[in-house]
Amino acid sequence: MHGMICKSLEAFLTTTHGPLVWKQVRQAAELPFDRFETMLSYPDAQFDAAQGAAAAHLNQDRIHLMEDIGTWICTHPPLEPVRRLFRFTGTTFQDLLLSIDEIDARGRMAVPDLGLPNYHLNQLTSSAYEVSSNWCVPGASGLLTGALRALADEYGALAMLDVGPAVRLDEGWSETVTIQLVQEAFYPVEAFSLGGAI
Amino acid sequence: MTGPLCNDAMLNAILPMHILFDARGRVQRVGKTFDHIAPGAAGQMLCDVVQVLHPKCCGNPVQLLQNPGRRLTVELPQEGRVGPGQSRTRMRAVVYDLGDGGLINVFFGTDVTKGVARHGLTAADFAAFDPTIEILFLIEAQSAVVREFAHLNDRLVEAHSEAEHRAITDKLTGLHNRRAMDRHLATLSDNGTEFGLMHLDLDYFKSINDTFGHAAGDHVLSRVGTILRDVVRQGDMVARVGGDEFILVFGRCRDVDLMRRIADRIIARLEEPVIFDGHVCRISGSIGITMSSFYRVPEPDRLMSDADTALYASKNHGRARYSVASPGQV
Repeated sequence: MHGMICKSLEAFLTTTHGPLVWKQVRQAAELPFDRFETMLSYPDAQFDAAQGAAAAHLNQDRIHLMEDIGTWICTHPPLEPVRRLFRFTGTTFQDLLLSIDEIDARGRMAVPDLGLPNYHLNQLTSSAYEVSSNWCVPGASGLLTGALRALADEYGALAMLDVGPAVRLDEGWSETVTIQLVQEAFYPVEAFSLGGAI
Repeated sequence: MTGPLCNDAMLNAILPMHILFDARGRVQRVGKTFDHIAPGAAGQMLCDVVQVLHPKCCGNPVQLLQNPGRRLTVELPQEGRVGPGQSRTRMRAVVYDLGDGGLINVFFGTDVTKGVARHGLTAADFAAFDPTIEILFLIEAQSAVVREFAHLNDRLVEAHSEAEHRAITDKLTGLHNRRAMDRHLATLSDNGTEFGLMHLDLDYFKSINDTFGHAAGDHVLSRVGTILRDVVRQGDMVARVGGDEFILVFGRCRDVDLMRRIADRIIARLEEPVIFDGHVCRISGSIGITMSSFYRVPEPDRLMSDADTALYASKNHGRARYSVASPGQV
């Protein structure tokens, strides 16, 4: 598992629940270090242990934990650069939804071995979608749902999201999210400034 | 002319930064993004609107049209939002001969990040197929990644010098040293992992050194290192903490009987004679054992001290044996 993904779990716990919670989680997960490094890779089992320990500590299931992390990534002010990268995916919220299949490839454009979940979009009606995902740990659907909830706000869209259960599939986890795009332009927002990072 | 015509709206959608000019060099119309970057160009002379830096020629349309399809380096003299002391955005352009005048399409080059930020451009300012947006994505992603690498590098440099400070192995036996052991115990008790602790002191070792010399002593010590590595499981820790003193730590262990069996095995193996330079070297070992599960709060110092006391009990009872500490619940 790429350090960027591991680190987001750690940083989420540290910034929203405090460094002590992270310490307890990494001890419960028996991690042999104090912190993840964003630019290193870790065995999937270590992320899995940390994720499980965090979910247990917060008394949540893993999918809802990942949902909180997804929202946090898109709203935590110091992570503005990451949120901006999401915005490049589509000019409108619907563009973004229609590009969900590309998330993994887009991630690899930035970091070749990032290993984001694999998402597949299935359009059910003109406004309803189902996204199936595949990942080595549970929570891909939660991560997407959390991020999309925050991004819908960004785009001024009104959408309803529902997370299905995680199903064990071969070596990984298969999950689904259903998305109902109620109104694309629910309230007006400013267009995304492409050069806003400067 | 037959077939579909390219109307203004379409030209705007495909080339939002174009300039159409007539045969006399007067600008007739510009694309919406061009107008956003350098407003009010329509009706002006081309040479006032576009300054060609390379190749050397002026905004004279006759000269410009002599370079059709060629990539030009340009600046826009009327570019907006250029603050005092700032330079204009350097851009690129291509000119097309339309017979009765021509078309210049302006686009961003390496100054793209600066230009896009300066003019607050959004996706709507580019043609839908323009890869500039993907390039901006890559530039931002890359700079984020480079930042992270720089942070990692700082921490690695720090960690490296720290590591040099505390080399953790004993050269003679290849076992860990005291510093490594202290750190390991601190981590275990920090993480609340249960463990067994064994303190071993060799018996009769001093007489080997005294009788057969230090080379024989070193040979025996390195043999002890091999034995101790053999009897522990992967992930357990063995350290040489003094001349002929060793500490063994068995992680995730609360089984004192297992520790007794291991202690017996260690003593039996230590007692196998070692031949060095024709001499038969015989040693044994005394061991003190304690377990973190004996304590309510297992503090490494306390455990070390109790294992030490148990070790001296073994010595006092005739050596070549082990004793288990009985600290009671602390």
